[in-house]
Amino acid sequence: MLDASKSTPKVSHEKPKEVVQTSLFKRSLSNALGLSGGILGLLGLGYATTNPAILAMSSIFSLSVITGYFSVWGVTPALHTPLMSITNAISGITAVGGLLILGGGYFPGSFAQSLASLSVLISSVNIAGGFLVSKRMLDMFKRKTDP
Amino acid sequence: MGYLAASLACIGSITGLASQSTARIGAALGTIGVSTGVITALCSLNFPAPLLTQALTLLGIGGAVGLYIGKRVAVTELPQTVAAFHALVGLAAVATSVGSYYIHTDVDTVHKVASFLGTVIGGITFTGSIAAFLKLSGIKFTLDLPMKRHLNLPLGILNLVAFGALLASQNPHVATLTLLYASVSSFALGWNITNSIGAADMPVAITVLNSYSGWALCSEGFMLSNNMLTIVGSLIGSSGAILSYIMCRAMNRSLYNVIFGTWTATTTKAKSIEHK
Repeated sequence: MLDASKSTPKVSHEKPKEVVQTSLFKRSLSNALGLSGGILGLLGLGYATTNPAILAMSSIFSLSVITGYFSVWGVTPALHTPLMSITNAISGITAVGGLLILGGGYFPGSFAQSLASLSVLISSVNIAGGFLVSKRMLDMFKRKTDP
Repeated sequence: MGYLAASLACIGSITGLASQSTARIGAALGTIGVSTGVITALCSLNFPAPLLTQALTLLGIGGAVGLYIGKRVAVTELPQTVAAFHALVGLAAVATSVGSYYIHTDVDTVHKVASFLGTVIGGITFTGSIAAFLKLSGIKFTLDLPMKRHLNLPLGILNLVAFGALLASQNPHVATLTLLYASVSSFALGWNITNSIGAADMPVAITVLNSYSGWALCSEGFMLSNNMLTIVGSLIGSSGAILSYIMCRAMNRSLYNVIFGTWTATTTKAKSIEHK
């Protein structure tokens, strides 16, 4: 069976290369529209928000989006899954969000406070477990030359 | 200052994971970053003793459970463990968003928008990750929602309606109800979307969900006016989006195809049967 499958002649699946013809006008139009949309959005944001703290937050937001965008382009394919695992573990930082609204005494006093405690509890499961799991994944990929 | 250090460590961690030689440093940096963030939050909040005990107990129990699970799982089960942990992040985001709105009901529009987004995105992440976990772990459990092929659009529209109601209403009780409704319907939405993705595409789906949870984190940052949550959240959100794009390209598929492929595939199949 195996020999038979081996002896079958290889069929070439080469597709004829499609010539991509996007007109220059269309491309520059969409570029210009995108740019002006972005600038209009920024203007609108500045017009709509009177609170300077939110503006500062927005600038921090956009800068870190750019950082995230550029940080992972060169990742090696073997590290896709560990990277996924690490980002998951880092997102366990929701614990801080829970801590910020935590309240009550030894036990949470109201519905909202018990939600906060729940959030802290399950995020800490994610932090500890997530980093342990990603460390184990990295150990699987370990080479002898690695530190 | 501690928040800044934590954010920088998280950025360094994700960048470090890009190549084999720095990957282990990256993992260590991530651990340092998150623990610094949590400790800074604990220190800056000046909790009274009972509350501090509560917080430390919760963190301790959670950490112990996490370590136990992480040690116990077999090596081949690691990806679905990540998915299961991920569901926890989604649920935490929902809980924080609803809880925070419940405490501060007299907030401005930005906080309303942020808590709504946190609830919806967190809800989708929660059930989506559970569906991913079930598929990857091979548990034979399928719960198809009724009329699942026509459910996504109405659920999305109802979410938009709830969003409008939240923005318009001055009554805190109505607003909280809309938030609770939004969480339930986004649970359904997340389950319905992810449950239709094939198990082979699950790693990409998990990365997409990862990106979602980043955006949920980001809106939490806006809601609680915490810079670190915004930085780390948007970092995870954008890097997760790029990572899922890269993973899709490695499999020679498009992201749209992975997420909505089932819907289009079933419709074309139905059409070809009709033609016969």
